[in-house]
Order: sequence, then structure tokens, then C-alpha cells
Amino acid sequence: MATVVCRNIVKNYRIGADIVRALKDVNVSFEQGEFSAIVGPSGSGKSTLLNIIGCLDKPDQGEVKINNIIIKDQTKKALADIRRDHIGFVFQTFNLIPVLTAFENVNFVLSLKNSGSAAENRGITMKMLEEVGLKGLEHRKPLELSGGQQQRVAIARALVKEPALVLADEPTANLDSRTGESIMELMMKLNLNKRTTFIFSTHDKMVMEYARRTIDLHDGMITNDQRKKP
Amino acid sequence: MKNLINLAVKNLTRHTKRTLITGIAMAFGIAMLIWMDGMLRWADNESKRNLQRYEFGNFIISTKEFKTDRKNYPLNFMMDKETIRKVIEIAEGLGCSASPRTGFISLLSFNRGFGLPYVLMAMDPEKDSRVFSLKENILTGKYPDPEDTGVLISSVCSRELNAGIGDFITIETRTRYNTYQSIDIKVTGIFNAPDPVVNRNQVFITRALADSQLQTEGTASEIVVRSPSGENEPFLSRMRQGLASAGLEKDLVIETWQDLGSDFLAISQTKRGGSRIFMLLIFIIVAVGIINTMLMAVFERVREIGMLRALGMSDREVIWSFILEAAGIGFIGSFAGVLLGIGLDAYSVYVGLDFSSLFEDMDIGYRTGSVFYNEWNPDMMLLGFIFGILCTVLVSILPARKAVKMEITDSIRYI
Ligand SMILES: Nc1ncnc2c1ncn2[C@@H]1O[C@H](COP(=O)(O)OP(=O)(O)O)[C@@H](O)[C@H]1O
Ligand SMILES: [Mg+2]
Repeated sequence: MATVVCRNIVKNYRIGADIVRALKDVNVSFEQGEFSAIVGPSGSGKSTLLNIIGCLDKPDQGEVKINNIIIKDQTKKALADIRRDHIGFVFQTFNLIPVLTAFENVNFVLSLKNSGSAAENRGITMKMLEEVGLKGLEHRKPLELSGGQQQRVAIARALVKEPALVLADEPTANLDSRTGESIMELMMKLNLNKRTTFIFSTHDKMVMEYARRTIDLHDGMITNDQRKKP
Repeated sequence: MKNLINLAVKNLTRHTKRTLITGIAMAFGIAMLIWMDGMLRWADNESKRNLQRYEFGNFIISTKEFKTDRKNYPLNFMMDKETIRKVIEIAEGLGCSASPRTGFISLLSFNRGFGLPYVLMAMDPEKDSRVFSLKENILTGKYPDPEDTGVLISSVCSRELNAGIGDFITIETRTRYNTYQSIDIKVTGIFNAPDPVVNRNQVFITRALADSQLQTEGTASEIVVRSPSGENEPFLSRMRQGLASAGLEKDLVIETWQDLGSDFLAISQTKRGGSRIFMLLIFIIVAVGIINTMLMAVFERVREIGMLRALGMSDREVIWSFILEAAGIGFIGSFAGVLLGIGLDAYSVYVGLDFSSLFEDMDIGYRTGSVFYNEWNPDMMLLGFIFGILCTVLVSILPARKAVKMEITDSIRYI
């Protein structure tokens, strides 16, 4: 069963009198556990596509289904719940809450779900931080962490609620290449361990190498979609 | 909810200075509110006390004719000696104190100065001191003896005439029979009553002196009655019954201090309205501060908010997190405000604030001395505290809603 199905997605932006056609009839599906890269130059529509898949934005035409839920029909609150329960985000800028510690940043997102006791959630959070290699740093605030460590917190935050889908928009763009590689390795490891579906965007050759499926996006159209042989 | 409270508390520490400044502004407003309220309450109650203690007692008995013209202190509608005796007997029979008085419109002068208008009040020192409190307010000299031939003047009068103890001042007035009379009397006492009306308008001689010099012959224009409890009732109705059974109700009337002080009481009502406007102003200032602070908080966190919403935080939760944050400032501000208010109250309750240099000769409408005190007002403290928090919560809804107004995609791209 496909985790994500996008059918005939069209998205236009209006800037004054001009219309920017960000996505032109995009059709793509992602199976559970896939580790895919959306690749394309800046302005090709990667972020727009990820935002639509992530229920942050609505397409002008076409349909998105996540875990068989048709996104178009949902209310604002229902969309927030879908994002909370099924989708994790990692962004280029880490956007951690500076007044919360690494631990609190991760635990806060988990607590939004209102499942599990506080003690259980704390245990889950600690385990997650351990998995992203931040054991011992959980009481640091974001500013006391390096960029790579901050992105690890962001990844832990995206994954702690065990979403079906993790969307990462250029997760390594703000990191040096060695740190970027370690982040990719971490995401790969988590993808294998948890069978979480990962979709990330990049225009970095090195990062693409990690993907088992590469989708080329050009001017809002998919020009190539290929899977690596295992 | 616990996580939202935790987040709100942490968010307050982002800009400790900003939080504190907003809180202090609020605390200041609330403290002023408590302080002003305590002071106005004191001034109001003190004025009412002074109306009784220095001007009207609990009620005044006079002839009907005198009542209708009392502002002019007419001398042709007096109560005779026998009536006075009966009325006092009835009043004292009820446990009240009663003092007959007669006021004469006069001009006072000293050393060839111009005559200044005062009311020359003839009273029975012994009886009068049981009804009025003037005896406690002698600055220099002495309170008159029953047979005293001197005059007791106020400190204001002493200053205006430039006359002191032992000086002979000239009092020009009319006798009961409307003949012109000018008498020189020695100043034997100077008082400073907390009631500015008395201070500015009245000087006192004994009835004995009025009898001999102003031909009152034992009559008086009014009898002031003070009840032992300080309350009008049940003495007022018993007094009415007493007058009726003595057959005096046709000629005499009773006016309570509330009737006589109705001008003041009406003004005091409007003053309270004025202080409410003052409250409103303070809270507008507080509201502007909170809205400003919270809008700044919202705008500096656009990307974080976008991220949290992307991760599934609902709009309501975002709004609540900001409201809770504002409530935190409200709590700090209100708490500090109440503490500061208690401090200011305490100072004013125990020490008082001397306004004499500000409005010595100005009429601010209160029957108080120029040292203002406070009354403790725990109800206002509680009200200020709750109102402070409520107010912040209410006004913070506006900026909090702003936080979720932006599209999530725009907030994430926001620089
Ligand atoms: N909110 C927006 N308003 C107007 N134009 C936009 C907006 N978001 C994206 N675009 C435009 O849509 C196109 C695709 O943008 P984007 O999806 O951000 O590309 P990428 O992430 O691949 O760099 C670009 O031309 C961009 O300028
Ligand atoms: Mg992009």
C-alpha cells in the first residue's frame, strides 16, 4: 500500500499580475519505507511539492492521499491532527525553540499527541535522542549545540511520534558536507530501523547518492523517476 | 495543557527585560489604582466623619423658618430658652448629646485691615464639646470656658488677619434685633480642624458672650444632636416622637447630616465615577503594553510557530500558548502591583501624605485636612489582581490570533 499518492497536482502562485506555475501536473506515489530524493535546481518546485504532501499547502488541482486519507476534504484542525499523527518535518533551518532544551524540544512535540503518560513520553524522548546520537546533550539549549547537532534534534523531533512519513526539505543545505553526510546516514539508519517513509529534497549530488529512489523535478514537472537496484 | 504552560513560562524568559518592563508598567498601574482607591475611600469616609464631627452632628433641630433660610443665618427665627431646654432634655433622655448654636454673619478685622467674612458661632463650650470634636484641635491658646469672653479662631483666620493669641480683633455683626454691633474681642485660642469648611469660615464665642453682646438672651437658632452610637437611628425617630409628645413638632424640624451635607455627598458620588475613568485609563495603558509586547513576541517567532504548526500543533494550542504567556506577565505584574499597592497603602495609612503645600487654600471638595491618609482596601487589591490578569488574557487574544493568521508555508519561509 502506498503511503503517499499524488495525482495530477497543479500549483500556481500569483505574484501581482504574474502567475508562477510551480507544479504542473505532478503524479507520484511513495511506498511505505521508501527513502526517496526529490532532486532539482532551485525554483523547480521541490518545496512546493513537499509542502503539499505534508498538508501544509493545498494544490490548485489534483488530489493527495496520505495513508488513504484524502487531504482535500479535511478541515484545518483535522489537517493539524494528520500532521501531528502521521507526518514529521525536517527543514533546512532547524527552527528549534531556543528556550527549550534538546530534550524539551523533542518531548514537547510528543506531548501534543496526548498519548502516553508523561513518564512514558520522557522515556520515548530519551530513547529517540539516544538514537540520533545526542545522549548526554539532552539538557543543552539549541544555541549550545552545533548545526549538525541541532539538525539531529530536529530529526529526533520529527521522528519521536513515529510518523508514517518524514519530509525533509534540503535537510543538509545549512551544514558542511561531512556533517551533511552524517545526517544522511542517520536518516538512512532510522529509515531501515523503523520502516518510516522518507522523502527529502536536495540539489546536492552527494546527498542524492544516499537515496534509493531519485525523482527529478524540473520547472514543476517530473522528468525522471528511478529506483536503485538493491 | 501542562506542556503549553511550561512553554509559556520558558518563553517569558526569552526577553527577561521586556517581560519585566511590561510587568513593572502593569504593576505600577495596579499599585496606583489600589493606592488611589484607598486614599479616595479614606477621603470620602473622613469627609463624612468630619461632616458629623465638625458641621452637623447626626441631626440638627431648628425652627421651620430658620431651616428654609439657613444659609443666611437669619436671627429672627430663634428657639426660645424654654424650647431649647425641652429639646435638650429629650435628646439627653435618649442618651444623645445636644448643643445649641447660633451663627452670626460677621466681618472680622485686625489692625485696620479690611473686614473678612466669617460666621461667628455662639456655642456652649461644655455642651458643644460633647457634640463636636473641635476641642481636640486647639493649636495654641485654649478652648473657651463657659464664661469665656475671648474668641476661638482658626489657623486660617489667624493667618488672614495676621492676629495671634492675645490680640484684640474687631468683629462687626448684627444683634438679634438687627442692630449693628461692633465688638473687640481677645483671641484666646487658635484651632486647626480637619474640616476646611470650618477652618475657613467659622470662629467661636460662648453663648454667654452672645447673650450679653448680641442680645440673644438665651435663644439659639439650632440645636445639634449627636447620637452615642454615631448612627442616626433609632435616635432620630425617637427624637421625632419626643418632639411630638412635647407638642413641638409644629414649629421645629429635624434635618439629618445627610440632608445637610447632600451637596458634598452628591459630589463624592461623581468623584467616584471620576476615579473609575482613571482606572480605565491605567488599564488602557496596560493593555497597550501587553499587546505591544505580545505582538513583538509573535513576530519574532514566526518561523518557530510555523514549524510547530507543521508538526501538528493546532491553532488553538498556539493561541493558548501566547495567552498563557501573557497571563504570566499579567500574573507577575498584578502580583508586584498588589505588593507595591500594599506598600503605598501602608505608607499612607501610617504616615499620610501632606498636601498642604499643594492645596492649602484650594478647595478640592473633601472635608479633610491637608494630610491625606489611606484606608486599607483588601477588596481593591483582590480586584486589581484578578482584573490585571483578566485584562492581560483578554487583550492578548488579539496578538495570539495573529500568530496563526499566516499560512504555515509563509511562516516557514519567513525571514
Ligand atoms: N509563496 C509563494 N509565493 C509566490 N511564489 C512562490 C511561493 N512559493 C514558491 N514560489 C515560486 O514557485 C516556484 C517553486 O518554488 P519552490 O517550490 O520553493 O522551489 P524549490 O524548493 O525547488 O527551490 C519558484 O519559482 C518560487 O519562486
Ligand atoms: Mg526549496
